[in-house]
Amino acid sequence: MREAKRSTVDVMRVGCLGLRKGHDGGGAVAHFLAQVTEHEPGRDIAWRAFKHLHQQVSGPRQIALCLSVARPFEAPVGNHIAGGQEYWAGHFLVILCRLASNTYLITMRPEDILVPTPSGVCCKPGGFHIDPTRPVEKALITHGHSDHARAGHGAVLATQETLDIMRLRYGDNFAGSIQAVRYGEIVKLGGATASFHPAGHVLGSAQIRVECNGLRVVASGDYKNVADPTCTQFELVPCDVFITEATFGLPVFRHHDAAGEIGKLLRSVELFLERAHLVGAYSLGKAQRVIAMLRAAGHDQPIYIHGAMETITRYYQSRTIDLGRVELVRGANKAELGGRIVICPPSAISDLWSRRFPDPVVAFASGWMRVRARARQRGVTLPLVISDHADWDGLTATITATGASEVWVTHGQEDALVHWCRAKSLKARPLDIVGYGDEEDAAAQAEAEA
Amino acid sequence: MNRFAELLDRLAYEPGRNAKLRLIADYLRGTPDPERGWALAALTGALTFKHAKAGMIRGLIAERTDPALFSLSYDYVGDLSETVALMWPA
Repeated sequence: MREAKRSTVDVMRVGCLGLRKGHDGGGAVAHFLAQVTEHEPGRDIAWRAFKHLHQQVSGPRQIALCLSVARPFEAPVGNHIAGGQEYWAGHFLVILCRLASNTYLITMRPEDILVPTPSGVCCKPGGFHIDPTRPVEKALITHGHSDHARAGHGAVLATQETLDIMRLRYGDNFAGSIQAVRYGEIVKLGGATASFHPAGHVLGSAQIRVECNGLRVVASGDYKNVADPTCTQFELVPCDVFITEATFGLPVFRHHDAAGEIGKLLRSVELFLERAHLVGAYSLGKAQRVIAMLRAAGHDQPIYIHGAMETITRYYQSRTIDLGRVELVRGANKAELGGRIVICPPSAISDLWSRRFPDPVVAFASGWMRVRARARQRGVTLPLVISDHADWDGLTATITATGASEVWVTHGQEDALVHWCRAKSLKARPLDIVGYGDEEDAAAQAEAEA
Repeated sequence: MNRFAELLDRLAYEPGRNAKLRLIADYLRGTPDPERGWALAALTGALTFKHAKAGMIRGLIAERTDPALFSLSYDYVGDLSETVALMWPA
């Protein structure tokens, strides 16, 4: 500590510290360091406190310190940052090693907690993977879409709804063992703790918060921060490292008000009373959300669904989500489908299946519909911008609100979001995880398999 | 103007002539003047926009957005006016 320099202390920021009180002065140092955070730089608070502490703790001591993600302040006094930079190594402040020559510093980097691997994010201290794309021993699953929830893991921890959805899709033996975790419940796994928090994406969807030695990492899975009558509202979880999706990670993607899109659909039904309205929507989540929103807008006619989404839709209804009268297309005759709304998986639109409808109006409910070329590609005549993913404004607002100083960006348009984070002086990196994507591709595959 | 935008969107995607006519008729029936008049002029090609040229639009969006984000977006969307319309700050 005697080597501490004012300038370097001024630019130091220590996040939260998860220290065990132990060897003599160690606890005191730990306690003190926790207090040092972010106190008005330039007022010498840190410097004076260090000096005081140095007097109290003398002689060699072993101190276990775990620093959370730290980054420099905006330079309060010109060149001070430059001095501090010399001591930087990745995320942690090596400067602390120098402050106390007899202090051993054990630092914790985000990569020590969660390691991005090609098959998903792996938590080594906890011995588990999050949404692995290949079978693993222990998997924590954010939600039931088939690009995130796969069959064949040894043990699966997820919300009850996600487990139910996996069972419905993959059969009873989809995993060696299962454990249902409630939102907010803290589960201890090896050297880490994990908890699930609502992600607002589909029924049962969760963000997974992992904490190890005071460093908090949140893997968001897929999320949206707008209202959805069919699932629990997104919860903001403060963290040091935020792993965000970037499905709609370009500033051209702004989803606006989904209710307005439902209005468009209903006006079209009114105008083209003799035509069936075929609405492409993902089988898990989107289909049920569209139905629920139609009900909220006052549409009280029976709504027809494709057979592939029957099981999940009935499951939603069994979880007391009111979808009104929902019928199977299979049982309906051609004449009664005019002027009706029929929900089907996007892949069915171009299928032979769709030929049974009298001159249908083809709609597609998806965030991709914001871009014309995408809508045209699909042969859609009524694009509906309704998304279960956060749009650009949602992504950026959420990243800011988590308070994370480091952001990992996965599946989607990583480049733009990484660029945006860096422009806001957040540390950001893309994760190259193979196998996530449009759930439709995976869903189509799953349906083909089923 | 939002209803007119909605009409244009529907017309752009609708392949059938009769369906197009029905959309236009429905719009004209339900929209008050003067919006209806402007819409009719726009549809019949009677409006001209002397100054709204690509260069000017590029200049306007450059003042309002991050160039790297614009370039990634333009690359993705593929059409200048559409990119600008989508990115325009609310």
